Amino acid sequence: MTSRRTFLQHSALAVAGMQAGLSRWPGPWSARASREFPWTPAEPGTAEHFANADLVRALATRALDAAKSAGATYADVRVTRTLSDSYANSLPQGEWEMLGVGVRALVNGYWGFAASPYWDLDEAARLAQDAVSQAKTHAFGTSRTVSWDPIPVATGSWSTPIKYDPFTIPIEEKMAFGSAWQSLATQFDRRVSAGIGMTFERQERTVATTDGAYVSQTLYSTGGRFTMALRPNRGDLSRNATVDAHKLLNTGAGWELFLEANLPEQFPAMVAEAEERIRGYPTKPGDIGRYDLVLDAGTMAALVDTTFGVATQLDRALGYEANASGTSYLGPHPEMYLGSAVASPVVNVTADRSMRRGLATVQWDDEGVTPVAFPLVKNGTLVDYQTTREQAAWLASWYHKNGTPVQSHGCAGADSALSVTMQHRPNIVLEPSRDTTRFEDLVAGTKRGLAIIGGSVETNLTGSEGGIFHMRRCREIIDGKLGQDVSGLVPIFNSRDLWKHVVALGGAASAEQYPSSERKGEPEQRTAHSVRAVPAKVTNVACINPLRGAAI
Amino acid sequence: MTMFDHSRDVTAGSERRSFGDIVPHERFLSADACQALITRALGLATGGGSTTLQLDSSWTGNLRWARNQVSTAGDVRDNVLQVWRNVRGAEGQSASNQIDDMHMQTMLRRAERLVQLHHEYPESLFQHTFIEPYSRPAIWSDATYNLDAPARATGMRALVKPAEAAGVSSAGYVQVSAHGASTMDAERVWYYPYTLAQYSVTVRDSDGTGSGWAGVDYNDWTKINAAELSAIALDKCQRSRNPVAIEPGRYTTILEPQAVCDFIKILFTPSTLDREGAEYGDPQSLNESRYSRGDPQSVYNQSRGMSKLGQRLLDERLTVSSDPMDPELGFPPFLGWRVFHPVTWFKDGVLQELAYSRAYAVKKLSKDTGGLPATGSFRMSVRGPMVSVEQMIADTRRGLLVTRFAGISQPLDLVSMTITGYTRDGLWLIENGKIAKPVKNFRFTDSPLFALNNIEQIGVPKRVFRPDAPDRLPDGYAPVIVPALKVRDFNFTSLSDAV
Repeated sequence: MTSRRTFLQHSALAVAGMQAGLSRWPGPWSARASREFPWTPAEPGTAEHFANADLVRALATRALDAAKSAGATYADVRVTRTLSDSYANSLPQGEWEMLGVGVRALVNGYWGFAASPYWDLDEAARLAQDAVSQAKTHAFGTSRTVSWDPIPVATGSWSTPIKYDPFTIPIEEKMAFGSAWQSLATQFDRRVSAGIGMTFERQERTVATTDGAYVSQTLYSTGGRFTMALRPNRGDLSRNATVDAHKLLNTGAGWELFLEANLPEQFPAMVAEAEERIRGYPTKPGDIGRYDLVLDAGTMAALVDTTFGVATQLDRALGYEANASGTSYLGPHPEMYLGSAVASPVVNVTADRSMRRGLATVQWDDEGVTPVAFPLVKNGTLVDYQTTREQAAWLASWYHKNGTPVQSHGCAGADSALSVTMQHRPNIVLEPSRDTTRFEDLVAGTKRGLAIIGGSVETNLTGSEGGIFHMRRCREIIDGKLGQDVSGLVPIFNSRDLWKHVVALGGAASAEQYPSSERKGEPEQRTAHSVRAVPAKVTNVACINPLRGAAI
Repeated sequence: MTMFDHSRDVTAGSERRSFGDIVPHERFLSADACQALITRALGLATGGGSTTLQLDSSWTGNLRWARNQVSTAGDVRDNVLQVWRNVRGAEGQSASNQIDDMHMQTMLRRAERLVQLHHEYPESLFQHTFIEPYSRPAIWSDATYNLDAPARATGMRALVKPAEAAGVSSAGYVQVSAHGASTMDAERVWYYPYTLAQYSVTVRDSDGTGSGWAGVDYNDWTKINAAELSAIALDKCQRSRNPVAIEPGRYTTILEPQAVCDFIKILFTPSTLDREGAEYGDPQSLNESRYSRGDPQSVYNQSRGMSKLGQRLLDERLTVSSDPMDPELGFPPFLGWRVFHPVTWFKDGVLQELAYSRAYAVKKLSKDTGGLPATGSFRMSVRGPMVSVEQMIADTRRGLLVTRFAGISQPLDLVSMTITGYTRDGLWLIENGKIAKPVKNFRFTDSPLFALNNIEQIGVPKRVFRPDAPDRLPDGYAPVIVPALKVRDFNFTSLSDAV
C-alpha cells in the first residue's frame, strides 16, 4: 500500500514534471508510474481472463445453433462487456463492469429478443429459444415480411484507434494528473479554484449472425471537464464566474485525450474570459423581429443534429417511434421528400460512421454491415435516410430509380447486448464550404443581424418540425462588426424554413466536432454519436421575447 | 409468504447453472439468493472493515408495435449490484451485473483499492447508516408477473384491430417487470420485491395531421384498462385531425392529469425538494448560476440560509404528499439504507417539509434520524369541490384543452422555475362551453409555481403515466397521482407546427 507521504511526494513531482515540459508526457511518466506506484493489476486480471475470445465464440455459436434449431429464419447474437469508470475532482468514483448476451431472432417476418447478463452456455441457448418463442408468439396484426439482399459476410476484429487504453493507466496516475492540473490552476492565479472530471468507457462487442458474420470490436469513449472558477474577492460570493476548458469533450479516444488537451496553455485565455464574465458584457434589450443570424459551429452542430439527424431516421419517419421519441417532419411518406429541396443548395449533410474519433465510429454495425459515409442532403436535396438492413428495403423503389444499390447504411446498433438492435443515429456532418470562410468572415459580411455564440437547440421533438435556440451569448452585428450583447430574445424556427435560408457556411478550417447522444426505443436506449459542423449564416429568422409572450 | 416464492419460472424450464449456490434460473434474484450473496461477499472481503451490497435484480417483458403490427417483443433480465467497502471511514466502491464468485472477488478488490486511496475517519460521525424499520407496501402483483409473452400477445391482438378498422395507425408499448431490491451487510439483509406495469399507445392518421395518446402505469397489471386507453387514443386521433393555427398568447387552459404531471413534476424532484439546496445552494458546485447572484438559485429559497418552509406557495386547496404505503401509489420503501416515510410536502398550499439527509438532520436539526429522503413520487390531493374535465369544458367561455406536454426543458430560471416545452397528441380550442376545433400545437413558457397559484377549477386526482423519471429512484420509478387543473393565463409563446 502506498503511504500518503509517498503519494504526496509524487504529486509534487507530478506538478514539477508538468511545469518542466509537457512534451515529456506521457512516455516517461508512465514508465515512472509503474516504478514508483507499485500497481498490481489484482483481480481485474481475473475478470479479463474470464472475458476471453474463446468463451465469446462458444456463447455465440451456442446461441445461433439453438436459434436455428428452434426455427429462426435469421438470428444474430451480441456479446458485450462494458467497463466504465469516472473521476470527480481526481477521486475515483468506482469502476463498473457490465456483461451481457442478447439474441435477436426473426421468424416469418417477426422479431423476438431475449437477453441476460450471464455469460453461460446454457443461458445462451435459453435466450435463443426464448427469442424465437417471442417472435412466434407475437406474430399477429397485419402480416409482415422482412426482405433484404445478402451482404458480404463480415469477419474480423477492430478497435477504436487510440494510443493509451484508459483502463491500463494506473489509478494513481490519473489521480495525480487531475490534482496536478488543479494545483497548477491555483498556482497560475490565486483567485482561481478548479474542478476536474473524467469519464472512461470501453466496450468489447462481438456480433455473430446466422449469415456467417463474426466481428469483434473494442470501442472507446473518453471525456471530461475542467472547470475554472474565478472569485476576485474571496469574501464576495456574488462576483465570480466559471469557465470550462476546451478539448475535453467526449470522443472516441483514449487517455491521450487528457494528455493532448494542454490545459496549462489554456489557463490565460480561461482566466481572461472569466474576468470578462465578471465584469459583465454591456447588454441591451433586444427588439423582436426577423434577423440574419450568424451561428457558431457548436450551435450549427446542435441544429443539424436535432433536425436532419433526427428527421432522416427512417423508422421515425415511418412511424415506428411514434409512441416513444416521436416522428419526423420528413415523413410519414418519405417518397414525398426524397428528391425534393429540404435546404438551400449550399447545404450538404452526411452520415459518417468512419469519422475520426467519432462516438458512433465502428468498422461494422450490429448486423455485420460495413458502414460507408453517405449523403443525407446533397446540395439542399434530400437523397437518403438512415437505415438498417430491413429498412433499406423500404426505400427500394427510390434506390432503383436512382440506380443505387438497395443496401443498409449500417446504422444498426444498441447501447449493449441487453437492448434490442435498432436503428441509431450515426455521426452527422454538416459539410464545410469549399472556401476558407470563418465565423468572423460571416459576421463581416452581415449588415444587420445577431451573432449566436454557444447555442443549443430545443426542437419540438415529435418531429423536429421546429424549435428554439438557447444561447450563451447573443451579440448584435452592425455593418459587419460585433456590437453589444442583446438580451431577452429567443430565435424560433421552422426546420423546413430555416434550412432553406442558409446562405453561407464556414470552410473546412472552421469545422468543430461535438459529442451528442440519442434516446429512442422502448425500453429506452441511450447511444452516443458525434457531430461535426461549421459556422453558418441564416437569413430572416424570427426572434421573439417569450417573457412578453409576443408572436410573429 | 407467496410473494417471496420466485422459484417457478414461467417462461422456461429451470436448468442447472454453474454458479455455485446462486442459481439464477428464477427471472430475478430472491431473498435467499441475496442472503447467499452477502455471505459470500463477507467471506471474500479482505482488509477488515464493513461490506455493503446494494442490488436491483430485474426481469422485464415487453411488446412493442407500430403501424398496427408488432415491431419487437422481448424478455430481458439484468442486475445492478453495487459493492462498498469501508475501512475505518475510508470507502471504495465498485459495481457490476454479475453475481458469481469470481466477479464478486473482482468487485471487492476494486473497491478495496479505492479504500487505500481515501482518508480514514475513525470518528463515529462517519457511521452514515441509520437503521430504522421500513414499511411493507403491497406493490407486488402476481398478475403482472404472470403476464408472459402469450398473455401479452392475446391482449394486444384485440387492441390493434379498432385502429386498423378505422384506417389509422396504432403504435404502442406494453411492459411488465419484476424487481428484487436489496440492501445487505453483515448484520442484515433488506429485501423487497415489486412489480411494475405500463401501457401506452399513440394513434396517428396516415397523413400525420391527427394524433391521440393515452397511457398509465401501475404495479398491478389488472388496474390498467388497455382497451379503454386504446379507445381514448383512437378517439383523440380522429378528433385532432386537420388542426388550425390560432394566435399564441395567454389562455385559460384545462390541463388533463397527464399534462399536469408533465408540467409540475419538476417542483417535486429530489433535487428541487432538497433542503440544503434550498437554503444554501450546493457548496460543492461550480455551477455559475448558483453563485453569480450571491443567493442560492432555488425555487424554495427565501434568502441565503433560509428556505421558504412555512410559506404558502401553492393554491390553498392543494396538498402534496408521498407515502410508500399509499394503496394507489406505492413504491419500494427503501433505497440503500435510506427508508422512505410518509411525508406531506405541502399542506393546503403551505410548504411543510423539504428533503434532507441524515448528515443534515444530525448537524442542522440536532435530530438522530435517518433523514427525510424524497423519491420524486407524489400525490396531489384536493380540499374542496372537484369537477370532471367535461364540467370544466362546459364552464369555459374560451380556452384550450391539453392532453400532455413533451420536450420539457431544463429550467430557464431556477428561482421562478420557468420552463418551456410544447403540447402534444391533442390540443383543442374550447368556445362557449364546447370543444370547437382541434388547433395546432403550441410551445409554452411558464412556471408551475405561477400556474399552481392561478387555478380556477380542480378535478379528481388520477394516476398518470410516469414509468421512469430522471433524478428519481429507485430504478426510474416515481409514480404520480394528480388532478386535472383549469389554469388562468397559461402562457403559450409560439406555434409548434408539430403534430
